[in-house]
Amino acid sequence: MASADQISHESMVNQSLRFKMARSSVSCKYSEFSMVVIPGHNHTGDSVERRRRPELPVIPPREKSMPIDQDWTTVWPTASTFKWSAVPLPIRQGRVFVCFKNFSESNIFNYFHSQKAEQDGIPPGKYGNLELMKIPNFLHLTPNHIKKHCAALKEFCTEWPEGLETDEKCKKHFPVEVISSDYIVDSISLRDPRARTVCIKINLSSLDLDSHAKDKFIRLVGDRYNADTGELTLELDRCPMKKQNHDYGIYLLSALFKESWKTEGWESEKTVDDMEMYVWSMNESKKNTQQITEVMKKAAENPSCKVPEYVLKSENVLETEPVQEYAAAVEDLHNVGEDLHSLEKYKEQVKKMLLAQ
Amino acid sequence: MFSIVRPVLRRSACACRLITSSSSNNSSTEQGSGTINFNELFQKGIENPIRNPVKKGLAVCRTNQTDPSQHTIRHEGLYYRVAPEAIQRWMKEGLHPDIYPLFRAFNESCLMVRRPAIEIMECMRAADYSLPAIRYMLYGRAGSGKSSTLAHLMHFCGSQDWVITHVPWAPVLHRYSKERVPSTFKEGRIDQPADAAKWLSRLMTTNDPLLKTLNLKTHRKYIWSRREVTEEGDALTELIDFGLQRVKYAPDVMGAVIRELKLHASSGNVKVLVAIDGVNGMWEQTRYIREESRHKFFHAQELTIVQHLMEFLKNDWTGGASVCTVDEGATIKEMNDPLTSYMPRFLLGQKGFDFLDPFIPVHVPDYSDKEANSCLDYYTDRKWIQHPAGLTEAGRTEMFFLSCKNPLELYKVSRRW
Repeated sequence: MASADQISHESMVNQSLRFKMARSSVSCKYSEFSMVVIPGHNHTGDSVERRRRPELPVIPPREKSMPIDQDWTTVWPTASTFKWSAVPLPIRQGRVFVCFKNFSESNIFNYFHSQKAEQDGIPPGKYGNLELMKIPNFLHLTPNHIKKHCAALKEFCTEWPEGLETDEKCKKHFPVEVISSDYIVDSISLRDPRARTVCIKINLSSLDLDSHAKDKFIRLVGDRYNADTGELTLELDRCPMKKQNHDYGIYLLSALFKESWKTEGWESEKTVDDMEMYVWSMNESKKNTQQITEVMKKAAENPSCKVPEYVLKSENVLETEPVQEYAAAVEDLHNVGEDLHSLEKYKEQVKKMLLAQ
Repeated sequence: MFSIVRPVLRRSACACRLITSSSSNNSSTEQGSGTINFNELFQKGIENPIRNPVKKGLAVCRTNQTDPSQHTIRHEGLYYRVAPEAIQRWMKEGLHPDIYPLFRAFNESCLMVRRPAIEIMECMRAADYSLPAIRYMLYGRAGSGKSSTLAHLMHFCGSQDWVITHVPWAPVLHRYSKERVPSTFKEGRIDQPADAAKWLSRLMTTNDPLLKTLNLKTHRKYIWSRREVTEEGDALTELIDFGLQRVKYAPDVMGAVIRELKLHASSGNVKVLVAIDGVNGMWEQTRYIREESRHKFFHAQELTIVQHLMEFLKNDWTGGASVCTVDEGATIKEMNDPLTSYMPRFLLGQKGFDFLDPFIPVHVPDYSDKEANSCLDYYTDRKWIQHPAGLTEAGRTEMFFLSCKNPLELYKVSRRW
């Protein structure tokens, strides 16, 4: 038995040999002759039973056993990749697109009767969904999480200063906004080159500038000024350290302010052509108006003359309302652009200025 | 043979057709009679022009008020008849060239009373003429009726015994002038004696009876040459006649006449209307080449006539008004340029605007619905529109669509109906 077992074991082990002669005192009738044994073909009697592990039952996903009123912050305490089994939400993401190249009758039949056709164009569910794992999730930043964060941070906070209750008040009392960032990196050096950058923001309306100074300020800062919001943004990164950059920014701001208040000698040589926009008081239009109003004033001495009222009322005619409105209309025509609306406005103002009502 | 095929061929250029060619061909081949089977068309859902004409007989498209000084906003959109003498006097030039044959075809000359003209008339009525002359500026798209409005205003002022000085098309001065000589009066200026003489003769024909009755005198002595002198106190008509006889001095005479007219207007003897069509041409480059280089051109400001007209456009005189038009056609800017505009500031440029400011810009828009219908009523009345389809509402809609209600385009489209 033992020898036969040994032989059959050997034959099992050495698979490269297709045929193997084996002696068996039990199975052979004639013990002198060996029998041809073909593994798998001849019944060799006893074989070794394989030991199999018992199959473990598949545990249902965790989401199935979650109570409705559970504390989510314990389930998802920190930022992590999406885990389908832990999120009890019916989420879908992505798109199944069945590429269907070779059209033939049989293909079309197969396609329409396949499972793919049912899924085509429908975002697949969360199970094993790679798309959901790619995107960042905010499951660690629910209101309850934030509440916990705040509660944990509260002992380190001081009281909010009085008089800064709203954003407007903050802007008023602290017009300069300084933005900088710190970076924590697991590395041999604590330094991060990005940390040196400082951004200083300020709204020009909070600075005390007259029209000349403001014009000069805007010219000096160039594209750092946003005309829509009136905000100046200085990005400072030329010095190696954050403090240096910050100090340089504050110096730059004060230098710009003082420089814009200076009036150089050559600035008086600025002509109408150098103006960046149409200014009524510098142009021919003002002279014309002055001329006409003077003539009107003289003509008003004659009582039969129908002169517009504003000419008689005021000593300085150019300061009166109709003339100022007319000046605004002319400036609008040049600076904003000419269209039917602005021309209509111009016409109305000229009529008011020239014709007695 | 009044077959249906002919109108279809005539209107083949149209974007959309009332009667499709397939249906018309079928009807003509089946019947062979050569007449329109309107019943068949009616069954096909096309309006029957004989059953549904727009209006029977004369539509209300004209007013009996032929005196333009009486025109108010009540007459808006209506045609008024201009007497042949008035046409000869004030509108002989300046209107679109197509309108003169049209007047002959209609056997009468009518102008439409439009809102821009009424607006300026109301301003003129309200204005005080002891104050500086007000300048009115007509602007609008090409073909929208700026020149016609100007003609209406000239008729308005002329009927009230104003002296009218008219430049039918200012750019002519710097484009097609045949004779150009250096000025003897002022160095660097260019004289155009023939054009100046033409202006003088036009002034004479426009205001002939008026100038004789007014009997205006000159304010100072003008010495033209050693022998030719205009004394102080001579009649203005004599001065004009002198300019016409001695064409060499016509540009200078023109300046003198303008000076005299301004003085007379300021002293209240007469009222003067300055009408200039295409005034933006006065701030353009001319087509006249300089002697020193082929690539250098004279500027219009160097022309004596333009300088004289500028004197007239200044508001340093009283007792009158100026009505000008700005026109895209008067510029040398490229017409196909997408940046082009018909607005006065763009066309005049900074210098022109500075010179004329403050002026009253008046927009001449395309026809409103009322005006467009009135225009087609008038064309129908004059049998200018003869095709039955042109009498239907659908036909009118098509004409409005094709022309965008632009007066000139509407006329051009209506020629095919």
